[in-house]
Amino acid sequence: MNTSPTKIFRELEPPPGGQARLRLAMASETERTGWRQPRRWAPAFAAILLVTLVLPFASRDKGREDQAREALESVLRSPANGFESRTAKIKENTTPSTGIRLVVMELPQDVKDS
Amino acid sequence: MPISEAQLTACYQDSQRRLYNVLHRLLWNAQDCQDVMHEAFMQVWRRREKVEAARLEALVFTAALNLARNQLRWRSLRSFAGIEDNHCVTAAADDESPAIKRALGQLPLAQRQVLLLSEIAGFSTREIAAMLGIPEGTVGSRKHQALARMRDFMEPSQ
Repeated sequence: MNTSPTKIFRELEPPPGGQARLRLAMASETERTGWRQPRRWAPAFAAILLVTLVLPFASRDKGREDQAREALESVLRSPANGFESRTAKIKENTTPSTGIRLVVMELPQDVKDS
Repeated sequence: MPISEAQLTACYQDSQRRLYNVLHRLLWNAQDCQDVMHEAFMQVWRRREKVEAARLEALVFTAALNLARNQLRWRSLRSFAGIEDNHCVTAAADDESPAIKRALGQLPLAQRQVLLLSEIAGFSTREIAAMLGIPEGTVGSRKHQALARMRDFMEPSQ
């Protein structure tokens, strides 16, 4: 046999409808991919949002805590007969018990809100 | 630059006949061939951002051949496991002659792919080598062996 196999292979006709099916699938895929892009970034956006919302509060709490600690330390350093604080307002309340002194230390409004 | 829908559709129009004819000699089932063709084009479409227009057809053929190989592996696995397979071989009126089917059937898949890509799809040795990821020399030897075996097999019936 000297003929090339090309000559003996019959040329078959592909079934119709393949192109229409492909077009539909491509359109559907494009539509889905369009939604997929923002969804892919959703975790990153969520993380950024969380950091933006939580960090200021966390740092504010820390600032307030530092202020309160400083006020308490200054009170504790005060002489025994009178309490003083540079950052906190001191109120002494009377108590019925003789051996107990009740002292209320109040942080200024701006320290509370900061 | 990503390929456009128009480019892929044009590629489908240009290559569908050759691709179908190649796949048919591997799968022998019109529905499977259509499904494999469709999936191959869709795989390329899903990676369109990274696909160069110049390599579009080669990528489609590579994807289709990989899918066809997977399909054949599944068939042999199902057959080995004794599971009834719905992918029966078709015997359409415009199908290949039984002698050619038998001759192709006795070729190892590696040789059959090279023969079909060369003789039906008309790809060059270099293109086939790139498509299958093998050296050009291997393409040449596989093609030579495939042709020789086809001739030997078909000679008595001529």
